[in-house]
Amino acid sequence: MDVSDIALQLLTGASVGMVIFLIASGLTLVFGVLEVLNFAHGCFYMLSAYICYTTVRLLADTPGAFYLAVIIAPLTVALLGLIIEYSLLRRVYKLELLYQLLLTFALVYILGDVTKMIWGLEYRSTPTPTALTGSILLLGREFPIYNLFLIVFAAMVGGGLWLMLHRTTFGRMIRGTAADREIVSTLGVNVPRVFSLVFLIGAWLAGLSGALMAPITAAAPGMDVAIILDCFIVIVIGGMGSMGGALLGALILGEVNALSILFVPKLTMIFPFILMAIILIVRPWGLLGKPIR
Amino acid sequence: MRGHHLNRSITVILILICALVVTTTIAQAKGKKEVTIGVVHSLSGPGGVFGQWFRDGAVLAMEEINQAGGILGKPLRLIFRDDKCSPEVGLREAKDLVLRKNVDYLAGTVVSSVALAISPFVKERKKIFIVDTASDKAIMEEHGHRYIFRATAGTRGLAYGAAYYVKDMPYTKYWVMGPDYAYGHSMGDMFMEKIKELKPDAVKVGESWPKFGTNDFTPYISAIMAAKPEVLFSSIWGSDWVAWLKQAKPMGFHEKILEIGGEKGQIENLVPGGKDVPEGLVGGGFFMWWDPAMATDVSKKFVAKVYERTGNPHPSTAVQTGYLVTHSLARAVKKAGTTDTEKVINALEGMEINWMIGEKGVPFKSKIRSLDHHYGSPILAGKVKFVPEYPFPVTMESKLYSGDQIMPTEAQIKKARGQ
Repeated sequence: MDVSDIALQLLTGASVGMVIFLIASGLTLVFGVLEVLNFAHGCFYMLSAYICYTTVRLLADTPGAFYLAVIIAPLTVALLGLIIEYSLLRRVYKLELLYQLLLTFALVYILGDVTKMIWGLEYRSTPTPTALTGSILLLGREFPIYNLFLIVFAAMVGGGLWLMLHRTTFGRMIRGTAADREIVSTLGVNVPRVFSLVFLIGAWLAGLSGALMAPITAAAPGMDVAIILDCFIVIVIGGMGSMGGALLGALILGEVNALSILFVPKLTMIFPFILMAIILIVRPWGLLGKPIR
Repeated sequence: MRGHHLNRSITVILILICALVVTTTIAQAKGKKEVTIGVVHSLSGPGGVFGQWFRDGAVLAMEEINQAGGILGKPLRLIFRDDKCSPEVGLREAKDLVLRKNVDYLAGTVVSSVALAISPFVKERKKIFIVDTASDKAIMEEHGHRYIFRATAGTRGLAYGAAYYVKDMPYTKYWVMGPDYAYGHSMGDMFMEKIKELKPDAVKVGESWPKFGTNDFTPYISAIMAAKPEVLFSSIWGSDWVAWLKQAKPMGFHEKILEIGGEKGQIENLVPGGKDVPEGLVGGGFFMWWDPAMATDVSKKFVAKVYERTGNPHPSTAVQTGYLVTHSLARAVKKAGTTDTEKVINALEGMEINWMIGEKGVPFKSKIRSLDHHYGSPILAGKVKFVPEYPFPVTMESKLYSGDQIMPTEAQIKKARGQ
């Protein structure tokens, strides 16, 4: 094994790591603003992957079918998220946190069954778009073009999110609501509407991740539960409510995972949990989070 | 006054509870009017397809049995429960089926940990439990007992089959990969044990244990390729394997390394894998009805019947197993002349099983072993090819392994049980 093997390994750790950043940032944004931990976040990811599959199948011969699906699928689940927030979640804001968690937990079962009813139990495979198949020679080995696309695209979306949060009025409203919703509402901000829009953005981010992962994985039952665990670990490490934390957490998780596969394969599964445990002991509010009031 | 009403309410409730208890006890005390098999299977979650297929086959068998007059004159009824791929749920459902629904026999599961959770309960309750898809060898070896049977082969057999198939190929450097739970480790250990026995110069170059539900295999692919093994033995299954194939393709994995797997010759892996399955991949399985080397008139008829009944033209192993398990229980009860568990177990031991596939068009036959209650299922292994007849890749030129080749010896079982 030489340096180029390790470098390539780190690059692989970053590619899906960036997608995890996207979905985790959605979860952490919703938590930071609404103070709700949405267990059903992974369901948006899963539904979007299935919708992407179906869209690509229906548009089979259309050029750019996949890219259309990447636009349509996340928007569809974002809309679903909006409906869920408006009709269900809104009713439990004034109740204890426990009820909100129970509601999102119940949604996991409901949305899981809805997915099963529409698409059945078999695995659904979306083909990779032609322009993004194949590989390029990097450090003497073949690296998939699609994975490079994931890194670049996710970075762009992340950049767009940052710009939105820090350079627009809407972003300022979101940050203000996250900081102190009572004061911000006395200043004239429509807090319920901010909640709805933030939830929509969160669902959209989860949906985007699902659509992006569709060509290199299979849409299958249980993928919602599998991804939500990774998301939790990332936002615990990075700091709940912090977007920068989501990026840092996702990259740390991705790289630690990649290196453990190379050097300590027998322990690969436990490293993320070790990381999480260390953070919870040493700095429980996460690397970029704020100490809990 | 309030206290009086409360007393009356409590009395009414107590009377209702007593009535409920009495009526259900009477119902159970009266002779059962039907023979019931409780099936605890995965009907949702990542293993959900298997449970669905098992159900298709079992229902088909049940209809045939009932059309022919039932079992000892009584109709056969199947009760299906979803274990949601969870040992806790599976055990709870098994308990409910046995204690409340009073089923005669149990069958299941897909996920090995569910079968392992149910096993001590059926041993304590003395109920027959026939295991199908769940394949960890620990189910029948380390934790086997009188009340548990296996209708397929365990991880030992599956891994051995792959080893036999590749033993004559000129490879010595092996990499072992599997999902990080009992099934994966069992497959990996059994494969290396056998290949080292068959080829003393075989070496394990490295190993990978992605957790079940991994969706990103690129770091695994690059790690394995960096070490340059000749063969990868992999027991990754389900949607994980589809992700693996899709991600391995652009990295040129299968151009450099031969992948082999104990269950890669099964439809549930080959169909979703589709065009991403590399030709030449060695896959094992049980029911390769598409391979002229293994098909028989029995398998052809069965495939046609499944298509007619369910609309599925490409049945998987689980459909055949559901069918076989149901029919075998019916036969054993008829042979015993009673539904009594102990007598049915005696009838099962040594009972002949006619499999649907076999070499040269002759269905393979086996006898259920008294030693460890294996049905004696043969293992098949073949090379993946794309052929015009099927829209998915299929294993061809398959070979059949059976009996002592793939089942544990008495000494191995004793050792596993610490005797």
